[in-house]
Amino acid sequence: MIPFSTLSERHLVYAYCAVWILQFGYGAWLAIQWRRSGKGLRAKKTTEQSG
Amino acid sequence: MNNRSQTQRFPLWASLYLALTFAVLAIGFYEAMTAPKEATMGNLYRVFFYHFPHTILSFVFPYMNCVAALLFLYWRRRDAQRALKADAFALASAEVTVLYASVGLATGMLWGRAAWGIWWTWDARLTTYLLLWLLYVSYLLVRRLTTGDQKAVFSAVLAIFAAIDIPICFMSIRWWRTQHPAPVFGGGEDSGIDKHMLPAVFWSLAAWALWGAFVLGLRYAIERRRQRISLAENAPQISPSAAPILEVR
Repeated sequence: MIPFSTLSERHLVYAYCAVWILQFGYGAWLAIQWRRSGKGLRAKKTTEQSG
Repeated sequence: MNNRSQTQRFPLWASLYLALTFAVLAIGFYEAMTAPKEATMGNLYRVFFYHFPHTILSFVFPYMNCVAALLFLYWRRRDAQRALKADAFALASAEVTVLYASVGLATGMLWGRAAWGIWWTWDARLTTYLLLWLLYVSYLLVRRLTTGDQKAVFSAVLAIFAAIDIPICFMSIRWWRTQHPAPVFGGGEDSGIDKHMLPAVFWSLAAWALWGAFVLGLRYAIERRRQRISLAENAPQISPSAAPILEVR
């Protein structure tokens, strides 16, 4: 268990948290974009089929 | 199969790949936390297990971006479909470069503040790395903020120029000995790491490489979808040969 009492130990925790926030935040943004683009593609197909 | 399943469902193989990535990330984290304490820096040196993979990988993705930009320039008047794919890949790799370089900068600054007592110094490695980050941010800004037929060409040319910074940045800690530590791997007789720390390095590198490939592939797939939607919307107004220039973002 890493203690949280000194500057270096706090910065170690901040560094790991910064990595997770940036990486998984980007991953979550991509998941939202994937969903939106899927809806757009479906709408396009529906338009093509009706047209 | 209905429309929804064709357009929205996440492929099974991609889900399995993502599960494998998370498993390797967990192993990398466990190895990083259980590796022996370093003599000088204590626990702080564990930042290295996340800083090193991100920095190394942020030197790999720009080359993918450069190759994709070159392929776009080659195919744009020869094969519109291939040019579109190359352009989508160039955009995806530039975004992932910015992501990995941002992590490299953030973890480096947090480590520097605790180890050196300063957040930043205009050291050769730090300066060239900041330049790398700025170049790829500017690439994304060019793509987002400019309009017109030449947008994709401008961004491809910028990608090729930006790639010149990569070998300079990579070699900076060998050419100029300043604040940043010397290379841990391949840095001469005094370089290297304790063999008990190596599993943590390699598991972390493997984990973040797997994750990088996943986000790169997903970003590429999203951009291809956008291209298809954009092509369909603009189809009546544009000729097929002009499509790659007009619709790319």
